[in-house]
Amino acid sequence: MTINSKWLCSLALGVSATVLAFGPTAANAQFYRGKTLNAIINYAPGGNTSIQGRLMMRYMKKYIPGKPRLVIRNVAGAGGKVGSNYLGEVARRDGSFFGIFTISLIAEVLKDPALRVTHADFHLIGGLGSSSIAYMRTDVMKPKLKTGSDIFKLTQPVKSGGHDPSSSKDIMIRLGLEMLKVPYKHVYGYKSGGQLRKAVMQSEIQMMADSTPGYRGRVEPTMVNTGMVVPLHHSGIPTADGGMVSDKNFPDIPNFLQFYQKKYGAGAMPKGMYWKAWRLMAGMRAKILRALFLPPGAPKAALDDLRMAFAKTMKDPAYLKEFKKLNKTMPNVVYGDDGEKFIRNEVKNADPALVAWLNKFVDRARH
Amino acid sequence: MFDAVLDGLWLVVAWPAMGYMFLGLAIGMYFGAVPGLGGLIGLAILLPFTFDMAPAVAFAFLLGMYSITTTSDTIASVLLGIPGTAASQATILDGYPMAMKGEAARAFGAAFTVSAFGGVVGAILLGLSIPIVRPLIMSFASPEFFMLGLVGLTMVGSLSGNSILKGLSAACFGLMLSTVGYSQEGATPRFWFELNYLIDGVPLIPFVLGLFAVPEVLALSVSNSSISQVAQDDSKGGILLGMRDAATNWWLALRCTFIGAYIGLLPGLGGSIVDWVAYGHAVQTEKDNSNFGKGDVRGVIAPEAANNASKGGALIPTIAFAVPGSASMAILLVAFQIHGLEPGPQMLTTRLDQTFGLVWTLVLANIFGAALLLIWGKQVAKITFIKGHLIVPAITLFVFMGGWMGAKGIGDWVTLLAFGGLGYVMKQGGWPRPPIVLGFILGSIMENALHLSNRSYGLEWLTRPIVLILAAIVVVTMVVAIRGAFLKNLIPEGVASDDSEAQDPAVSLPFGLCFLAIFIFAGFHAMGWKPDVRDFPLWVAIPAAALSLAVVLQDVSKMRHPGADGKVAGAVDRNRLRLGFYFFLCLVGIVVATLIVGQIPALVGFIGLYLRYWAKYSWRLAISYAAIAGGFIYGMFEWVVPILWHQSLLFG
Repeated sequence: MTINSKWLCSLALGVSATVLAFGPTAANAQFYRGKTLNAIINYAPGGNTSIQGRLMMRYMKKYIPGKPRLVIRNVAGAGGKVGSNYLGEVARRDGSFFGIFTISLIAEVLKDPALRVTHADFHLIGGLGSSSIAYMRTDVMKPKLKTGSDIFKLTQPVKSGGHDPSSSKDIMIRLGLEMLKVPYKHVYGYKSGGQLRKAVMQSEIQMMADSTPGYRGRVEPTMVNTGMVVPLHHSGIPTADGGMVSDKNFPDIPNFLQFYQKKYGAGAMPKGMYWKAWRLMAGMRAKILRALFLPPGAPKAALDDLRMAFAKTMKDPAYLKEFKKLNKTMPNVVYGDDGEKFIRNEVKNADPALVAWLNKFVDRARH
Repeated sequence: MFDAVLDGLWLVVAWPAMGYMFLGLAIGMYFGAVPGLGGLIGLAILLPFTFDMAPAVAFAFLLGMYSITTTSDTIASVLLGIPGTAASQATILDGYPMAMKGEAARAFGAAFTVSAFGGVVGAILLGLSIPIVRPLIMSFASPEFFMLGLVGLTMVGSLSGNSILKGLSAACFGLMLSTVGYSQEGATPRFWFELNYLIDGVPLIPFVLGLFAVPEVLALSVSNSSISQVAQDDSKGGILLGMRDAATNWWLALRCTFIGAYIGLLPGLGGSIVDWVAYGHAVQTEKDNSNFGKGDVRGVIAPEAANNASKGGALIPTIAFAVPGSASMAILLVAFQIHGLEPGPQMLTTRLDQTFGLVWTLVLANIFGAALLLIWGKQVAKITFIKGHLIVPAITLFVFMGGWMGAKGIGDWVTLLAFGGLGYVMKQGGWPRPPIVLGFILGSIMENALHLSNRSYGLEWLTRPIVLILAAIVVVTMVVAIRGAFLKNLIPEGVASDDSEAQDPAVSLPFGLCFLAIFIFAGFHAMGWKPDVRDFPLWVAIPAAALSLAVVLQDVSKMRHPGADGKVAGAVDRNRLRLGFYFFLCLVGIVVATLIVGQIPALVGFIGLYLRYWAKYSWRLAISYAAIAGGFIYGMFEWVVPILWHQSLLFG
């Protein structure tokens, strides 16, 4: 072979390698160029989902290759299910629509008839988990509660508050109180977290649970710091060995297992369906409460681009600074494949006996 | 405290806060004037732009926008009979009749003046009330909310014109409508007929737009006259007369400011009913109230003073207790957190300067905003003298697109037209429409509050002191209303004169029979549900059926006893009724066309065809008008406030 031929071969090999290395990426980078990307938020403007979603999009849009025009719309109703149904049934599946949702996987597990799609079929771009923090008014007994474990001395029922017996918040409140054998009466029907907090302030109810941003951003400054309420526990993160670890955002508040052990002794473990149900609910919340989804059948190129943009956003110092200002915590992030596997597993492999037990548990609250 | 007042003022007047406040005012005027938009959407869109601003600048911008929407919403309410925002529904009752009398400018003069007055005085009142705000808010729990709802319902008597029976029946219909959808109390969908669209209840915006705006569009399309029935040269009173009216009725404006500020203070209640309560109060307390509903300027002054004052009221629980009373306040709460302002008791103590900064923003925004609107108001009012056929396409466009803002799809337009047809028939039959809206808004508040009260307190809630005081107010108000009706000899007979001239019993009778059938069906249907789900609709259905039956009997009597000329009193022109029906079919055609070709072609096509074939204008005008309308729809709803377009059959 002559030098020229060798040179040509080397050149050809080099060009081929370059095309192979960058070709797909170049194609990906073009996917959203010149296009409009529609984000559907499944709660109304003004709600936490909308605010958190718009904050995230402010930063994420600059990382989407091709810099599409981003249009954000709220499609609210039925506790977020209208937006989910829209993404699954109506939205185009060409990558031009994606959802920013607060999801309730338990609604899917319990087969809520209002939800006509399954999140297990959506493509997960990424998501954020959140703990739930239970707290109680200090004046539920005399002398007043000084710490959370003082509730173990309660003899009269406390009034706990929630939205609806089938909501994850209500289920976890009741599970927790029953496992701890704290007498209670559950008052449901409050339409929003704000309405619940107001009811606690007015002593219409005495105990409730809030998400991370609600607790840190609103409850702590106005109720905890003034001595009106004490935190009891946060939901915790279940581990594979049947135990539980704490959310790193709450070093100051025990997780539920630690709180349980304050009553029943170190090493005590809750058992049975109650504990199974708690682990299921806590795991779902901790892993993924807010999620970005593409509808089924969306192009892989779109999914790859959005996942990359999401991952970069989660490492963007400016976004993290704004997130912390708003939520007073750092985000618990779940990425695409990991989150998708989790959702599919929880939804499709839910223990039928546990589901039946949970349905009865929910029904009991209505009677 | 005085230092905090001055420090707060300095925060606002410093540059660039002042400049951003004016920018916010300009944006807010637009969001308030275009039906279906409003302060909430404005805040949701503008919030991300404020992240990098200094706190004082950010709040000047956001509050500047937010505070003016309840002033500029008067424009659509007066000129077109369409509520610009939810807070200006009651303004239509007298504002639009004033426009029909050629007094739109006078209505603007009065409205903008008292809006500024209400906003400023309301903010000052609340600033002075800071020491008692906390116990006041804490005293109003679910039982008190239920009773406040009952007090609100007693306003029905004032909103019923001369037919209290029809008014009460309409209010019951509103209460029943509020039960449609998923019951929070029992996780059971009610009256949804397996339609997913109704699972979340009847949406407010297309419902109100349909009920009030569509009948006016129908009337304009058949009348071939301008909105003003009086020629421009003969019209009396302009902006200055309106401002004088505001000054003359200062005591009414002040009372309504109190109502707005203190009801607005109550999270979750105030904003939605404050204009109705103020209007009802004006009707009940003012001398010579026979012209309310026919273009009485006091019917504009009362709600406009109250709804601006309520904005300041709603701010206090938001910043002091982190309890937002509305979705708009929830967005503002987030803005506080993002800008490092921690809501809580310290906002009323150590950070009082920040609180007064917000109060000053409201004060200044109300003053400057009202001044700008007063300057432009006279020109804007001239729209009422333009030929009706040239206005109808624009109004139709605003009504349809405003009804689309609920983002629930084509069902919103079906709702719009369904209630539009209902509103038109009610108008012809002498049935008052405002009680339906009042019942609808209060229904969900009252049912929820009643359930929470029973669950949390048992029956003990009936003995709470404020509950007892409010119960006494309800009883006294009802006694006064019924006594007044008897004195006017309006029960069981009498010619009703509500918000229209027509009270055709031939139209009213079948309508009353429909209501009766609906209430009987609803009652029987409800009996199959669990108690928590059943009780409220059942308790409404029983008296509602009785009231509707009474109205039916009343109409039968009127038809059997025509006047001395052999004609039934209040009968409508059958030809106009027929033309109205044909135009209604054209509006239905917009929906059908949307399914096939999409919204923009359907609306643009309607506009062009209406002008050419209904209004008999030239093709050149029809095409030009339609092209401009199409450009506006696209620019506005694709770029400024993006919506989800309906996916049509042909174009996806």
